[in-house]
Amino acid sequence: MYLFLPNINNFSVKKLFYGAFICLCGACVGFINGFMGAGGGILLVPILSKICGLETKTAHATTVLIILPICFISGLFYAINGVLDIEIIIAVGVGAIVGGIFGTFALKKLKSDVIDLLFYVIMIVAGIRMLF
Amino acid sequence: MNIFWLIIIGVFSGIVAGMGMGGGTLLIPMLTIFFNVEQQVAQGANLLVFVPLGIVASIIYIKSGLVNFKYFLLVVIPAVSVALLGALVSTNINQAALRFIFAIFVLGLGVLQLVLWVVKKIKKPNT
Repeated sequence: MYLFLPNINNFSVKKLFYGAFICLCGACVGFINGFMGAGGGILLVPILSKICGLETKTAHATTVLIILPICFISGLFYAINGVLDIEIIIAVGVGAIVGGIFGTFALKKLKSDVIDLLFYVIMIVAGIRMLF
Repeated sequence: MNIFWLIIIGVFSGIVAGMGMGGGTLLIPMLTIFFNVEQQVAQGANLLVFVPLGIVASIIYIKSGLVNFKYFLLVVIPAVSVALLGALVSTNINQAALRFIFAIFVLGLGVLQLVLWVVKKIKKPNT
């Protein structure tokens, strides 16, 4: 009867809990990204690198692949519900493609602790500014 | 003029995203603070703006063999299904409340990362 359970020897409760935990993390990231329209990537990269032990580059690449369908489907949901401004999407989108290429190929080498720090400070200022 | 500045903030958030730091967490505040865009509209815009960028980046990453498909499958299925729930809640919530929650989220993430940055600096001052 074990014929139908070929992996019975590899099975362990620990593995099962680990898998379930990662799925749960994914669900949380998905909810936050759908709810706030951003931030999923910032949360997912440390999950994949620190908890799952992926290399930073692999964690980044895998994150982009996971965030893409999340953004597409929840973005569509926003659009169907009438929360849509085509002018903003096109103008910002054109800029973002130019900036994205520039950032990826020209500026990545400039990434340093100082730029990280600057980014965090901007986030804090933006958060405070939005509260009032 | 408005379009010009929209393109500029697009370029800015694209650069941040390209450097791997999260362009959306900056794009949404810029849209709501400088353009008085409604919170939900800014969020929807950020989600859809990421799609073309994400497709290009994904193709490059898959070709260079950097993607871990085991973890991709493990995370993407629960993430996508629950993302719809998040979008459902957010499109039905009061915009001031959503803006407040988003502000707390961005502020919290910023403070957390700043603290981690400082801790890292103290532990390894020369890296």
